[in-house]
Amino acid sequence: MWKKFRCFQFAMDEEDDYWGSSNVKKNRATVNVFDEKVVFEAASDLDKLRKNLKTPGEEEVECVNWDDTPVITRPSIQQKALQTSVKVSDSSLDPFRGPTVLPTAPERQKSSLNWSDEPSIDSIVKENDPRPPAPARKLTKHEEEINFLCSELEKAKKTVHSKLPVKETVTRMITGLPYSLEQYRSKEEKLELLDRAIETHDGNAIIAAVLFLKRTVTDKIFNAEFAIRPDAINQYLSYLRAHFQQTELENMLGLLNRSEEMAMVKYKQAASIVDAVAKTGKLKSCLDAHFKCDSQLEHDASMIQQQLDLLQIQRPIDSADEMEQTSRKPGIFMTHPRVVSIVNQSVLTTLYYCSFYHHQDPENTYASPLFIRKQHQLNDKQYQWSVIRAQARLKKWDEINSLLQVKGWFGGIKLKTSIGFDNVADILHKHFAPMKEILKFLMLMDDADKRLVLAKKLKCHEAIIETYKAQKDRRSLETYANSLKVQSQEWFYAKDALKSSTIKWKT
Amino acid sequence: MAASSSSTPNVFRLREESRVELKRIMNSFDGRKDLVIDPKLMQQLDRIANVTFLKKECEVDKIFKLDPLQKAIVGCAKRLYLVRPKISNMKCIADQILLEKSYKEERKYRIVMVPRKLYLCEMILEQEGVFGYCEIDEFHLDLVAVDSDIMSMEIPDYFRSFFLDGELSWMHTVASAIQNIQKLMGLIPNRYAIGRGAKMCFELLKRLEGNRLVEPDYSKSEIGHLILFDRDIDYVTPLCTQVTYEGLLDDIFGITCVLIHGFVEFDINISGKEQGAKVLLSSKDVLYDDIRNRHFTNVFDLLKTKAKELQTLSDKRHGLSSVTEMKDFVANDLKNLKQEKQNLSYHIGACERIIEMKAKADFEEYIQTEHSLIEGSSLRSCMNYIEDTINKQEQLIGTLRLMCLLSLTQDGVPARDYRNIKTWFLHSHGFEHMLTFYNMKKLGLFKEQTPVFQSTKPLPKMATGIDPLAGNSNFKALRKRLNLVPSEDVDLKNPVDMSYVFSGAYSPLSCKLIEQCISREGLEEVTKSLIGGDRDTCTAEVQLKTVRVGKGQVRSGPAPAKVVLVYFLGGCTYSEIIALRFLGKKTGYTFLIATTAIINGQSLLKSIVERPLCPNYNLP
Repeated sequence: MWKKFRCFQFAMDEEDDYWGSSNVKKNRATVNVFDEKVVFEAASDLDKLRKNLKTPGEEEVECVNWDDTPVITRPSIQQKALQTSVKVSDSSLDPFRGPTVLPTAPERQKSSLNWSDEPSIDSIVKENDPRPPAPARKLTKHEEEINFLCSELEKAKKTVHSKLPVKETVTRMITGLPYSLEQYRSKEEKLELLDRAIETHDGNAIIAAVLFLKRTVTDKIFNAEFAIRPDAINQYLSYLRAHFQQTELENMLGLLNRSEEMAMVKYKQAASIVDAVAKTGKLKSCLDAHFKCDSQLEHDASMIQQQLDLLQIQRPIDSADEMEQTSRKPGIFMTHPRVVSIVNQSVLTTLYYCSFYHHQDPENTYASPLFIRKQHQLNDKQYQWSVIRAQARLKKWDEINSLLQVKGWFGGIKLKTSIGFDNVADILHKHFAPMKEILKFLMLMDDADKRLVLAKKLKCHEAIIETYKAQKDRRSLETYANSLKVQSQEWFYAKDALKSSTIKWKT
Repeated sequence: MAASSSSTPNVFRLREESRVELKRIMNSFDGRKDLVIDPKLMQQLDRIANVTFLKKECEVDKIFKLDPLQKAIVGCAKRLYLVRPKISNMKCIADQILLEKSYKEERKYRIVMVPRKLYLCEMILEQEGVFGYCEIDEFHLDLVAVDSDIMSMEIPDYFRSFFLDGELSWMHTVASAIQNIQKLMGLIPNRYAIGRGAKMCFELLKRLEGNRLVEPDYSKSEIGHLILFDRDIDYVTPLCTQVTYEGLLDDIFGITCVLIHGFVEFDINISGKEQGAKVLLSSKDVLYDDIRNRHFTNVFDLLKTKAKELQTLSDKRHGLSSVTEMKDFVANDLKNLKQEKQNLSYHIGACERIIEMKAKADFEEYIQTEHSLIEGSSLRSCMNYIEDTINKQEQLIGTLRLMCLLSLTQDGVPARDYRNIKTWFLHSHGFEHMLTFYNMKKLGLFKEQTPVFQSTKPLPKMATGIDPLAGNSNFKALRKRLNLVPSEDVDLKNPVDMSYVFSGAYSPLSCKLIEQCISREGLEEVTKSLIGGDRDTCTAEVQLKTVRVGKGQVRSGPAPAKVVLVYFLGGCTYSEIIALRFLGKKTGYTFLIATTAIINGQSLLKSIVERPLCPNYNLP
C-alpha cells in the first residue's frame, strides 16, 4: 500500500515526465524523489530514526508504510500500480501542482496512517523499519492538509484500477490540460472517447481521438467504426488533405463510397499538371477510372472528354504558331506577336485565338474556328461572341459584316446575330470602330428605347437623332439638340432634322 | 453599468488585453530574440502592436516573415515563431530548425501558436524530430476590435474549412472568444444560435463554461443578447452588390482591415501622391462616420456640401482683422482644415472612381438582373443576361455571383439549365472549374433543382458530411414571409427601412432574422421561417426576459441590457453591419458585430473557386 502511495507522490513531483518515472528502481532513496525542501526534512527524520532503531539492513529497505510497514517489493505489481496511479495523479490532482499546496513528504506519509487496511502489518514489522512514525504534534499541525489529502487519496484509490473516466479526459482535452489516452485499452473505451470527443464539437479533440483509434486498432475496426461518424470523417479527411496523404485520402474516399469526391480529387491532380502530354495521359486514366463508370458523373465525363479533345488540337496549333513566330516571316505574328502559349486555355479563348490568327484556315484544319465550333458543339452565341471580338480587335469590320450576313427569303442579304445588335455595337465601340459601323448596328436594334440608352452611352448622336425622328418625338429632339455643342456636326444634323417638313411630329 | 442601459460597451478593451498578453508571452522568453511571423497573422497583429512595441517592450531583435522557401534564417541565439497552428507552418519551422541544427548553430526556439496549440501541430513537430529543440506556447488572440462596433477574428479560412470541409478546429476559438468577452463585459443572459455551426459553437461554449455553481449574476452584464449566426443560413445577402458607401469601398478597393481600423488603399490617381495612400477609415473620422452608412446616391451631395463648408471655413482667413483672431485661427482651425481637406479629397476621388468603374462594367444592367432575381421576376431575361456574361468571358466572380443568386432565389436551377450554364461556363473559363462547380454544389450555392419528393426523405448525411439542404432556406417562401422585398419605394436619403442598403430592393435576410429573434426574444419565428431540417439547427437559451411594459404597469425585475452581440460564423459584409446599425437606431438596441472575417461577394466566392492553371488569355 505504501508502495503505491510512494509512487503516487512520485508522480506528483515528476509529473512532467511521468512515463520516465515508471523506470525508477524500487530501492531508490525516497528522499531523492522530492524537491530540496522535502529532502531536508525527510533526511532529518531519517537521521532521528537511525538513532532510535539501530538495526542492520536498514539502508536497503527504504520503502515503507508510515505505520511501520515496509512494503514487500513485488516489482510486477508495483510496476502496474505505478502505471495506473501515475495517470491518476496526472489527471485528477492538478491543484497540487503549485508549491503552496504540495504537501511535504512527512505529511504525506502521515496521511497513510489512516490506511489501516494494509494487509501484512505483522510480517512487515519484522523487517526492521528504519523510519519511525511522525511525532504527534506534527499531526495536529497539518491536520487540515491531511484531511484534504485523505479525501484526495480516497478518490485516487477509487481510480487506481478504474482509470480516469473518459468524460474527464475529454474535458481536459478541450480545456488545454495535459491528458493521456494510452490508458484506454479496450475498444469500448476508445469508442466512447471518440464519441465524447465528437460531442464537444472541438476539431482538435476529435482528431486526437481519431488518430489514437487509428494507431491502436486494426484497420478493419477503425474503418468500420469511423465510417459511421460523420464529424470524425470530416476531421480526418481534412487532416489527410492538409498533410498531403493522397493515398490514404483516396483509400478513405473509396471506403466511404464517396465516388464523386474521389473523382474530383483525382481530377484535380490531373488538371494541375502543366505539361500537356503528361496531363493528357493522366486525364485519360482519370476519366476511365472514375468518371465513365458513374452515371451521376456523365456530364462531367463528357466535359473531360472535351478537355482532352481540346488539348489534342492546342498542342499542334501552339507549336506550329511558335515556329511561325520565331521564323520572323512577315505576317500576323509579326504585327500581333503572341504573348503566351495557347495550351491549357479555355475553349472560347482558343476560339478567339484561332479566329484572330487563323480566321482564313480551311474548315478541316485544327486551327479553323469552324472546326473548334464543331468539335465542342458551340452554339451561335458562343461562336459569335468570340469571333466578333477577335475580328473587332483586328479592326476587320467587313469580316464582322460578312459573318452576320444571312440570305433572306427572296435572295436578299440581311444582317442577323444571336447575341443582339446592342452587344455587337458595344463590342465595336470598345474596339474604337468608326461611328458609321456602330451606327449601322445600333439602327438594327428593334427596341428603340434601348437603342436610345445605348446610343447615349456610346455617344452616337446620329443614332439618337434618327431614333427621335422615327419616334416623331420633336420635344425630345429639341432638348437633345440644345444639349449639343453649337455648330458641331451633330448639332447641324439635329437642326436639319428639326427643320424637316416631311416628319409629322407627335409632340 | 446598469443592466438596462444601452450605451455601447467599449470593445477596445479587448485590444488592450491582447497587448498585455502578447507582451507577457514575448517576455517570458527571456532576452533578445528574433521574431518570425506567419504572414496570415500580420494583419491581426498589426492591430494590437506595432514594430516599436515589439522592439522596445518585447526585446525583439529582427522580424521575419515565415516563408516556406526560406530554409534557414540568419539571426540571434533565440528565435520565437508566432504562427497559426497549421500543418504546413509546422513543417516549415521543423525544416528550418533541422537545417540550422545541421549547421551546428546554437539557438533556442520557441513556437507560439495563435490562438492555441493543436494536437496535430505537436504531432508533426514530434514526427519531424524537433520536439525536443523547441518550446511550445500559445497566444489566445481571437477577436480584435476593428471599429467601435466591429470585432473580427481575421480568419477568412473559416468559411471554407467549416462549410465546405466540415472541419471543426476553429469552433473552439469562437467559443473561447465569447468566453473572453463575457469575462470583460459580464455574462450574457440571452443566447441564440441560428444554424448548425452556431449550435455546435453554443454547445461547446456551454461545455467550456462548465456547470455554474452559483446562480449567475446578470446585473453587471453589458451585453443582453448573443446571436450566433451561420453564414450558410443566408448566402443571398453577401452575394448582392453593395451600394452603401462603405460597402462599395470594400467591393471596389477592398478594405483591408489592417491596423486598428479599416484601411483602404487608394492608388495614385485618387490620392494624387506618388505611391498611393493608405487612408484610415474609422468612426473617428467624422466625415467618414457620416457617409459610411449612406446609400451611394446620397454621398455625393453630402461631399459637395462639405466641400463648400470647408471652403467657407478656409475663406475665413481673408477676413481676419486682429492678431488674436489670426492666432486663434492658426491654432485651431488651420490644422483641422488641412486634414479635413485631405480626407475630403480622398473620398471625392473614391467616389469618382466608383462611378467610373460602374459605368464601364454595365453596372446598371447587372444590378437590374440582380434585383429581378431577388424579386423572382423576368427570369428569362435574367437567364439571357447570365448567358451573355458567361460568353463575354469577363468578370469570372461577377458571373458566378449571378449564377449563385439564380440558384439560391429559385431554390435550385432546373436540370436542363444547370447543365447548359455549367457547359457554357466551362467553355469560357476552363474545364478546371468543374471543381468550382463541385464546391458550389456541396455548399448549396449553385445546384440542380431536386424534385420535391426527394427532399422530404432523410438525406444520407454520411455521404458528404454536410447535409446538402442545411442552411439553404427556401428563399421563395422566406421572401414572402419576411417581406424581404419591400412593396413600396424606399427613400434612399431618409431611409425608414433597412432595405435601403440594397437600394430598397431587398432587406438582408440575415438581418431580418436577427430582428425577429430580438423582437420576440426567442427563435420561434426564426425556426418557423427556416423550413425543413433547419428546425433542429437552432437553439436558444433565454435567462432574462424583457418585461413588456403595458399601460400603467410598473417594470419589475432586471431586464437584459439593450446591447446585442451578433456573431457571424463564416463572415459578414459591410452591408449587413450597416443594416444592423440602422436596425439599432430604429429599435433602440445597440448592435455589436463579431465575425470570423469581414467578407464580400468577391472574397466569399474567391475562397471556393478552384484556380485553373492559367488566367484567361489576353491578346497583345
